[in-house]
Amino acid sequence: MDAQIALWMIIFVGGYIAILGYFVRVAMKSDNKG
Amino acid sequence: MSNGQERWSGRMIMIIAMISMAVGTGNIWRFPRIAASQGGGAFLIALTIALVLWAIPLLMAEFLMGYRSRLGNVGAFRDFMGKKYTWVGAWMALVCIGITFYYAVVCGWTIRYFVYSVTGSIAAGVDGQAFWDTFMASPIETVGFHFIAVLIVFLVVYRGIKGGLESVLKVMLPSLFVVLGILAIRAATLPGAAEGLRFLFVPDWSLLGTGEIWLQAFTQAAWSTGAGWGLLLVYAVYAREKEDIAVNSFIIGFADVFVGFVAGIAVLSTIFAIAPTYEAAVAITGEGNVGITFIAMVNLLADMPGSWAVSSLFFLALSLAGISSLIAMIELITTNLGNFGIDRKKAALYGGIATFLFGIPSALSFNFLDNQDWVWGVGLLISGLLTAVAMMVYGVDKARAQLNEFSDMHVGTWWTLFIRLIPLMFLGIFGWWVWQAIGWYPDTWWHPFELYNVGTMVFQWGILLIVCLALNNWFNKNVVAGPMTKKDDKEIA
Repeated sequence: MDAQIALWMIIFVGGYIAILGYFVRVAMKSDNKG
Repeated sequence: MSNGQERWSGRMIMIIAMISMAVGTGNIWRFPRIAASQGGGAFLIALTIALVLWAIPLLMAEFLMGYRSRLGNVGAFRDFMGKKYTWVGAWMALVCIGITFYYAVVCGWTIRYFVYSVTGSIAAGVDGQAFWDTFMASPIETVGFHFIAVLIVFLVVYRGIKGGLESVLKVMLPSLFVVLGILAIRAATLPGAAEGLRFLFVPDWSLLGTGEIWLQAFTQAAWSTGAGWGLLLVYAVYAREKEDIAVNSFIIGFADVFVGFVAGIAVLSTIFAIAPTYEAAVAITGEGNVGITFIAMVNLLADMPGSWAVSSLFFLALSLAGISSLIAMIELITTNLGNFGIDRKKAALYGGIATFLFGIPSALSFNFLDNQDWVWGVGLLISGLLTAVAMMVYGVDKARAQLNEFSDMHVGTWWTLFIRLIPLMFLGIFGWWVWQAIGWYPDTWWHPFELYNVGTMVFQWGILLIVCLALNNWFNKNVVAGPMTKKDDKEIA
């Protein structure tokens, strides 16, 4: 796999994981507050 | 009497159920080929924008409607738009039900192919085309597996939200993630797989300036996330009190597209790793959903190392994705029938029987199924528009204030802006599909009985519209009241 493919995979897969992680964290913080 | 007696046990299981609703066969067989043909990473950028502009605002609107009305589509649209427009909710529900009938048949196909895989029929030397033709030519098999799919889903929905849907979906969705993850890793590590990943992720920037990539992106966002289908509305009927809507909707939308990424890695890596030549691989990505999944993938998986395991996992993933969405569709029927005073278990039974019987024509005729997919698939775009219209009639600012009541994030005026822009986006997307259809049948675009033309859509939508309008008063008399039902619809402003 060349660097270009790896870079764009990281951008998209990593990006979506980061976005999902952000919203899940917001949700969990709120649930913990009760 | 409200049908919202049950509630999801918790936020996580509710989100799991809603993601399961959204993740379907399309994530596995439509998304990868569209992404590959529309400039890979450029398409993913357009898709992400479409997710934020079209899908997530509509998911939030649907969630609000189910959550506040505590009624299915018919009752929810009555309470949000007024008694003159109850028929709009019926239209939305019936478009989704039209899809349910043939979607169950497709679930039957995926189960059949899972059985083929597990029993070793998908092995080196198999002729995918002949395999498919033989299966399609056997009504006992197509109808039989359609029945099995309906039976499985009926047994889940029959048991209710907690006993049925929760018990099953909390296992089904994580299993789907694991299976797709294994397939993705396995496929991506094959020699030659990198070209598939290039097609999926590396942007072809020249395509971002074309109209088609945006129209494909908005269409995929609409179809993949379930935004505007009416299914999320139904699941939201069972949301707990004080449930957040905005953050949940973002999670559902982004999770749905992310599953597509994983499936895309698995499918495109397999195609480029196993196809005999690069050109053959590219040609496969140009096939339709059936061509890729039930013919090309069968040929490719049969030639893969560990083909028994990989093909079994692939068709298991497809089956899980399909069944989890079909559960939501039969739940839509069940919830809406329940709003007419029908006991839930009977409603689930009627939904199962209707899905089986009305799905038989699709099981017997691929052309009929394809036509229904066309008519009701494009019809879903209209349902999305109607959801936005419902918000505008109800009052987008009032709706936004209600979204913010228990929201974990502040819903800004971006939401009201995007909802107001939905009609414009709809005109673009819908107009494009109509224009394409006219191009496919330049001389008979108006004929009611062609497969994919404008005439067949207008003819069938027209019948549905007349039926819904004619029954509007009957709906008003017979749908139960919910917590927001007003006695006088002039109070809704």
